[in-house]
Amino acid sequence: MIVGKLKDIKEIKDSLPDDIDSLLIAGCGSCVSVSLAGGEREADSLKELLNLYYQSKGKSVSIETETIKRQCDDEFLDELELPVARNQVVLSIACGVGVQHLAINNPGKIILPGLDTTFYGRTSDIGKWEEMCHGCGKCILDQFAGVCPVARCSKSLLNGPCGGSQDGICEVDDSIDCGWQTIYDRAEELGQLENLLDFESPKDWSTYKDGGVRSHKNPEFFQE
Amino acid sequence: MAGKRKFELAWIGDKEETDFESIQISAEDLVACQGEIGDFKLICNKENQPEEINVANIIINLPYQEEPVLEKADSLFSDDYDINEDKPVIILQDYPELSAAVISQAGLEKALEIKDNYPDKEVYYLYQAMRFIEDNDRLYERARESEIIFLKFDLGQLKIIEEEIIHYNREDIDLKLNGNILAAPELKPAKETERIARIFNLADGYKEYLQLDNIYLQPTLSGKRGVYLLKGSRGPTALTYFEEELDFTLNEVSKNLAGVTEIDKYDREVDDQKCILCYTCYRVCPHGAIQRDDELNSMKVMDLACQGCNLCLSRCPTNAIQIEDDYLKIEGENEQDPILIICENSAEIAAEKYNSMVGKDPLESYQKIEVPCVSTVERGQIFEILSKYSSDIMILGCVSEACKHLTGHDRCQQVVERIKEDLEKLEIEQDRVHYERLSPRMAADLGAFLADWKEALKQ
Ligand code: SF4
Ligand code: SF4
Ligand code: SF4
Ligand code: SF4
Repeated sequence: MIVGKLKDIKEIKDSLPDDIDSLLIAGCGSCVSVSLAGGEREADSLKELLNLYYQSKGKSVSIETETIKRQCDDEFLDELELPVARNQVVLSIACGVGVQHLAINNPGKIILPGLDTTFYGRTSDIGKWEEMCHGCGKCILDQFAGVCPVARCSKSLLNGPCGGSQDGICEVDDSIDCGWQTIYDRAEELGQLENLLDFESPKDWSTYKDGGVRSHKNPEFFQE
Repeated sequence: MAGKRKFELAWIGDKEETDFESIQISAEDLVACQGEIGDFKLICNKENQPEEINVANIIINLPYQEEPVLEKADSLFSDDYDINEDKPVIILQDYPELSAAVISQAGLEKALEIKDNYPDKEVYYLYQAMRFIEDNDRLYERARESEIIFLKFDLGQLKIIEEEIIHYNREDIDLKLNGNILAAPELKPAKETERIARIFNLADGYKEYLQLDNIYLQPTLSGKRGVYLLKGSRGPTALTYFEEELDFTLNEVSKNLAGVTEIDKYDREVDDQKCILCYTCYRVCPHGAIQRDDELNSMKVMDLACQGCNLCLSRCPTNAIQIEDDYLKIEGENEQDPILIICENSAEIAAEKYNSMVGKDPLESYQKIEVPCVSTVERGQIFEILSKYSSDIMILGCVSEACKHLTGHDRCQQVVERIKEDLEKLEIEQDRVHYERLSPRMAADLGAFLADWKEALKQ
């Protein structure tokens, strides 16, 4: 799932125009709701906080919230049409995808991001998420005992670990588990250590950032 | 499920003899637990037949794992120990950490047993603290009479050299003891503990045992209604009063079988159109009262298990859980008065006590929001109050071990800290939100503390 984190309130406040008179906070009811950052509750409390702020500055700004199922698909945006139209500025607390999809559908409207899209991750504890995948476009989990070297090794090494792996901890930060230690541990459990002995040749990164902006089609819906 | 047999009691782990219609399941075979008090459904793997068991009450009774503290020593609990003809026997208790009280009893019994069988043998008894439960004082007396040598130590006064020589050095005594050591093992939670905690969705416990250190759980409650904890499931002190704890628990089971009612009159309904199955409510509920409703593909609150804290409501990211109770209503006559958000289990009770002591309601001349648990406090709600009213807000939660909803106080504190952080970043109203913890006993403190606060507010 896409994981996000609400932006620092000061950053949000600074990003809003000085002459603002009306604001729509648009929440998203899928991924970022699950990561407790961009759903209805967060939209509501952000509204109350900004209300309090503008009130303390003696400014009158009307703020409303609307949370839809997904901001990244056209059909759900219908529900946002009127609220977007009647407000000067929109602060979207969906992921970066949602913010842009909203912008594409609302030319001429200022659409600001209220959330930092952090990564694709899993929930590892209440209120805690961990990065698992970079979306490299060519999944190689099968060769690494199901542990992603691209996302879970801090240096994305395909031949690891590096010399900075100490007692299962990554040298980049004490709080990071060494991805390669995890790869070895799991490979050992699965009896696949052999697989790791071969040199891994460089990955084809053209499916990732090297190939430029990515898009793809499902052939069932398109004829070449 | 019609026609299906329902047991009155299930034992997970060890079983004790009772009159209930009961069934025993090994911790390894248990896979999942659904349902609530009176109607649990335990799902087991194929090793256990039947694989699905309906049961009204559950006792988790896992053994301790005994971990030896010295490689070469025998365990105090073992009947199979070495006695070397020429060397003394050394009983070692409280090393390296204080042992549970029940160990004093086992140690004294063992020392006496050795002395009875080998009257000429020198027996040393090293301990940090002798705990006098049950008939320990009598055992201790007898042990002294039979010339067992008691040596009390503090950490630092005892050194273990080569695993069988103990160097005891205290004030004017300097002894090197070389003999057969019988040491009290360290008690650890059973291997399956973590899995079982997950299966029953119990809040993480003290030192990885299943029970939290909380007065509302004493002696054997788990936080989840109808699920009880004994021995190595409960914690390191559970052996001491085992018989009493067992009696208490079986008595609870009988009461439950006579009928259970809901804790409060409110229904907490999950709107299946709004619920996104994020499991936040399931994870935060301190009482394991939420489960997935497979038919509706949304969560549901189990009414008998629910203890009414409203933590799930205040944390659901989609506001999907609804209740027909305006539990955040502000009561008060004067809008200028400071606002108190008080927990009905601590400050509210303390205030009543203060009133009957002093003859004055310490909460009068405040606006009040009375909540079932301060974990109901939400950021949005606090910001809203701050903008509608000009007065300060004081939230009165509970001290950790006296929070009826176990983790509620912590969750509230986290929210309040985030509120303050946000206000500080915006450089507004930073000092208007306050948070304090109380226990229901702290009546005098509450009175004094509110008076001080009011004084401070005036200035
Ligand atoms: S906009 Fe789409 S991808 Fe982004 S959080 Fe919402 S549902 Fe997920
Ligand atoms: S290999 Fe690529 S697609 Fe697969 S998990 Fe890693 S980053 Fe994601
Ligand atoms: S917290 Fe709300 S949205 Fe999430 S599972 Fe529970 S009821 Fe559903
Ligand atoms: S009100 Fe409290 S006890 Fe009841 S389901 Fe919600 S979190 Fe659990």
